[in-house]
Amino acid sequence: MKKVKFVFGYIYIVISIFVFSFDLLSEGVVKKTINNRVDISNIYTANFQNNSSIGNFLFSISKIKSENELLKKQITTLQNKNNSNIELEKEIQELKTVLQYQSSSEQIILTTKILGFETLPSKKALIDIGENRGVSDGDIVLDPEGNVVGYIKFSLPMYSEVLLISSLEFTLNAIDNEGNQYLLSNIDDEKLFSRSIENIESDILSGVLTTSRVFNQGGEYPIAIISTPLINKDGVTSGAVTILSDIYEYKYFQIVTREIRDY
Amino acid sequence: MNKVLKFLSSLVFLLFILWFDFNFISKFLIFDLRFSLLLLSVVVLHNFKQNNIEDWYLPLFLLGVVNDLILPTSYIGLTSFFLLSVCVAMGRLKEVGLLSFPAQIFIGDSIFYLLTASSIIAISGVNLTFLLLGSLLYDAFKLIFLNFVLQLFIIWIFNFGRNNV
Repeated sequence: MKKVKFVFGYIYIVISIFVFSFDLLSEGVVKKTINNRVDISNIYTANFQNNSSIGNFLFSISKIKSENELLKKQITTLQNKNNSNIELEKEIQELKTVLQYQSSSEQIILTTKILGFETLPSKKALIDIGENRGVSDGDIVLDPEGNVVGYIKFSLPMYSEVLLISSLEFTLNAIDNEGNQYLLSNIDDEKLFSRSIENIESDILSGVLTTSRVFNQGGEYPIAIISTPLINKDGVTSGAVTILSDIYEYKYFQIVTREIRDY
Repeated sequence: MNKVLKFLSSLVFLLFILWFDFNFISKFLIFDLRFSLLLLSVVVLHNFKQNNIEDWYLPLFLLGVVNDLILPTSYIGLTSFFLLSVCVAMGRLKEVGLLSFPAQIFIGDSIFYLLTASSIIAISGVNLTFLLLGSLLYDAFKLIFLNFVLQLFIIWIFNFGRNNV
């Protein structure tokens, strides 16, 4: 008998967690439909106009209680609506940044939604477009602001996998403002190790490392900033550089296809 | 017939978990780390005494294969191997009965993530990853602790009010 009682409790907990997470993580679809179908604001409308002062005093406690409950419900539905609106607004803002960025670029850049992340063995993101839309292995992937977040490790017809810049497997060629060539490899979530490919014979004090057409990467897109000087030693200039992108902050990425757009 | 139905229902249940994992949990990162719902499902299977673990081996194997089919760089069969080894190891620990359930969970998590971490050394980029072994293990340990804490929390919810765990 005792067990039977708990079963309902479990079902309640599990369902509430599911509904909560659905609503939190989806675009508020559940919320929207519930709000459309049950418009709580119309169920209860108090008419205070005809009430005398005595009538107000005689307002029974149960009525006030039920009114309170309804008001609470209204507040939560409004809060839910507000939350989903904030989420949508964020997404719209991100897409606006993407549009703005792409209109100023001469390269064909594809917009893609992030399906999910993997963290071990390597840090990867799954994205929702693939070979069918012109994505190929090695394409550079950018965040909405145009900073490099990784490159396409593997592309399938319908979706692809991005090896993220914060993954320890990550290596990429780059150049600085003066055209010196470097090899970048990952140190941790925020830093890359930069090592010059040819002999520079001087320290590099500041600048931004970018991708380059020299390496067939489709253009110059910023990867990392030189925050501490790169030291020259035995003909090799090397040091740690800071990653520019906040990889996990976004819902959309951009992919640079390696063809020049023809108008 | 009853057995077939049982098998199918457990497979459908696990595939639903996989779908939920890919669509929702994978976007929900905590300290840039991912909570593994597949590992949680194995732990939860061991939580219930009346559950016959042997019935779940084949569904778990198929679950791992489907997971590897979806992830392009994953080698088919690896996730099955990791999940099943956790399942078997936890079962053996339970039989021995020397450790408490949280300790069993911790060992299960460690096995899963250390095996996953070692798989990258065995499979891809041996030279480079061997040099970066420290940060790989560091990531693995972070994941073990995060998953352990969240699993304990969820197990606590499941066992809330139960006397015979």
